[in-house]
This record gives sequence, C-alpha cells and structure tokens, in this order.
Amino acid sequence: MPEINHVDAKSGDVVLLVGTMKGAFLLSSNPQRKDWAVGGPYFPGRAIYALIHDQRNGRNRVWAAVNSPHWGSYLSSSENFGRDWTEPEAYNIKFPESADTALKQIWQIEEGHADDQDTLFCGVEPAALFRSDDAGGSWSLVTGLFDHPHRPQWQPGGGGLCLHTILPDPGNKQRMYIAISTGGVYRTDDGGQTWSPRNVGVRAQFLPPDQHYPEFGQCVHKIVSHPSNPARLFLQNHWGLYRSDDGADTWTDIANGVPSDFGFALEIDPNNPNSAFIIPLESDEFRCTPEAKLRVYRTSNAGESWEPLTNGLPQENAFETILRDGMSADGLKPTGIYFGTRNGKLFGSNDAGESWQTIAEGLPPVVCVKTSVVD
Amino acid sequence: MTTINITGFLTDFTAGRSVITLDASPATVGQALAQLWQMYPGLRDRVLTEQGQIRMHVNVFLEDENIRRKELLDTQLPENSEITILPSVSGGL
Repeated sequence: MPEINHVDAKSGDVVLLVGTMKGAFLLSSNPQRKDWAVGGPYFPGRAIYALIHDQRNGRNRVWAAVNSPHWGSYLSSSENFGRDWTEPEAYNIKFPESADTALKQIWQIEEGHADDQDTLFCGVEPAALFRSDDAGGSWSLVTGLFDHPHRPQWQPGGGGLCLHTILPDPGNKQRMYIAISTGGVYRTDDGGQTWSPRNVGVRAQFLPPDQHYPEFGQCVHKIVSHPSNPARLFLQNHWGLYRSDDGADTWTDIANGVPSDFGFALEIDPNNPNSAFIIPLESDEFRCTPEAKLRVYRTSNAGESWEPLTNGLPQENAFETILRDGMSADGLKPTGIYFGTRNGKLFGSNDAGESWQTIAEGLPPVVCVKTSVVD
Repeated sequence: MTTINITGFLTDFTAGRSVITLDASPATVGQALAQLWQMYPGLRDRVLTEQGQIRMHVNVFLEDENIRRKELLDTQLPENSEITILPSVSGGL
C-alpha cells in the first residue's frame, strides 16, 4: 500500500472530494485552482460512492459512503481532512429488521434545507431515503417514500436500483426532489410524508413505444437546479435532456445540438442560473464519449443551445465515461468545474469551462466528485 | 468448546484476535455467532444483514463445510467445533 498523504486545507481553499471504486481522495488548492495537493487513498479497496463536506454550525466534517460487496455499507466521517476516520461498531444506515430488504450500497449524502443546519439525507440502494437531524449521529428511514405504492415496481438499471440524487428546494423547506434509477423523479411538498412522481415529458426509451412516457419508471440520471430559481430544474436522462420551469410538474426537451442526449453527469453553474454543464456519451450500449472526443457541453441560455468545451481536453482516443455523480462545480468566480472519469482521470477548469487541465491520472475508476470551499 | 476463526480486517474489531474461544456450548452456528457479537459488537453488521442473514459474499464454514450447503445459521454444532468466517471470492471487483 502506498504511503498515504494528507492535505492541509485552510480558509478559502478549494477541496475536491473524489470517490473511486477503490477508495477516496481529497485534493486541495488555493483559490487559483491550478496546483493541487492530493490526499489518500482513504478506505483502500472500498467503493466510495458519495462524499460531502459539512461545514454548517462550525463543523469541519467530511462524510464518506463506504461500500464493500463483502462487508456491507456505512457512513464514516473525518474532522481533519482524512487523517482520522470513524469506524462505527454498529452500522449507521440500516433498514428496519422488519423491512423486506437489506441495504446494498449508499449512493448519496446531501445536506438538508438551509434552515435545518443539522439535517442530512442519504440515498441508498435499493432505492430509499434516510434522514438525520443530528448532523449524522443517528438516522431514520423516510417511510413516506419507502411505503410508496410505486416502490415494488421500481426496477434496477445496470448500476442497481439506486436513489442517487437528493435536491432540497432552497425556497421551500417542505419541498424536495429525489431521483431514482429506475423510478424517475419524485417530489415531496410536505417534508417527506408523501411523494408524487414528476416525470411528465421524460421518456423511457427502453419501454415499448406506446409506453415511452410513463408516469414513473424512467431512468433519470441526475437533476440539478440553481438556488436563485428553484422552480427551474435540468434533468439528464437515460436518453434525454430536459428542463422544467414549474418545479418538475412538466419537462421540456432541450437536447438542442448535442452529439448525444445520453449521459450521466450534469451540473449547474453556481454563478449563473441559466448555465449548466453536461458530458454526452455516445449511447447506452457504448457509454463512452462520442467520436472518442472528450467534450463538455455548456448551455448559457437554459438549454436553448449548447456549446462544446474542448480546450485542454483530449480530442482523440478519448474513450471516457463520466458517471452521474462525477462532475461538480465550486462557487468561486470564475466558476470552477471538475469531473472524473471511469478511466481514473480527473479534469478541472478554473474559468467556467473555457480551459481545462488534467488534475490527476491513474486513479481508480472515479464515481463521485464533490467540491467544497473551506470556510 | 467452540472456536471461531476471524480473518483479515475483521480482526480490527476483535482487538487483533484471530481465534476466539466461546465459553458456553452453543447448539447452532447462529447461537455461536450471537455469542461472538456479544463479545465483539463490531463484527455483527459486517457479517450479517439487518435481517440477520449472512451477507451474500461472506462465507461461514463449520469445520471444512460451508454452512450454505447445510442449514445456514440453524446448522447444528457438534461439541468442539471450529467455525471460520471468510470473505467469498464472489464479491471481488
């Protein structure tokens, strides 16, 4: 095992939290975001599907979803950027013993509404939502979703039946969205007690032609929104690229001029509510970047048009796959945007995608990239 | 006397001990493991699911036979038995 290095991040620094199939890495840089120190690998051998840096209420706590096909899944945390991690005796995310299912993997960790500074949510496989109101000390199953009559009909996609996206509405603490592969988008308007599907206009191309637009069951890969306009969301689907302007009540096709509307990763520009980034993949069968060119596409007009961003990205022999949680943006100006590939490469831009650099290579397959600006 | 062999990283939860001897005489494998969880609580969730089933990619051997080919946790324990907990080759990535 190689020597494990650790990063020292100070106030104003940017931290990249990178989860891979064989461990987690923490990278840090000053606000220039040109030179990066690399820490890790933490949890060598374990698949780290989710990471988050919780700085609310004075905390400096990194959470990692640690997954093992042998020994199960749990959440671990560090208060010192990875030097020490908790190893709970009893796992912290567990279905009730009376439930008809057992936890397979933890897919997502997300903070709650800004008014709830100690609330965290966790999305898991098989698709379910867990909630903590004590900053991760204890967790409970959100039964309003677990008991939904649609649950028995949700089907696993190639990666498993996963609740992978959790999106609280910053303007309404009772409203939150989740996305399931394959189940679609669901929204709650009562703090999680009840949930309703929100997939009008989103197609399920893997169903017979007369069933391409079901009420639920789509393989939604990612949804994002900007805090200044929470009624507008963008959606990357298993075939399909969409925008909603009515809180997910309806979706409009915005695959305008992209080489493929199949893909996983999608990220909003924190500095521009009309701007989002995607990384198209050729098809659901090939799942690599089209024409062997690694291209990020950006819209600056809410999806009316998309432009390729290629400066500094390989434009030949680039058979790359970027997964649904593999891209993230920081809130500095200009926007920093970062993504990791299944071939173990990590790319970043410190100018909203105008130019890119290779931050790291030779990592295990990257499944999660998150960013944090240290308080 | 029942002996339980603990392998690999699981010994992180047994203070480094790889051979655990049970004082009582459990009747089944399940009862033996229940005693083990009492002694070393950190092992339970790593070997069993929430519903108390052996994890899919974990094998438990009674002597040289996998209890999946017997009665799983209800497998009867002869006196002076040896149980071994091992990760299965099937869970590798």
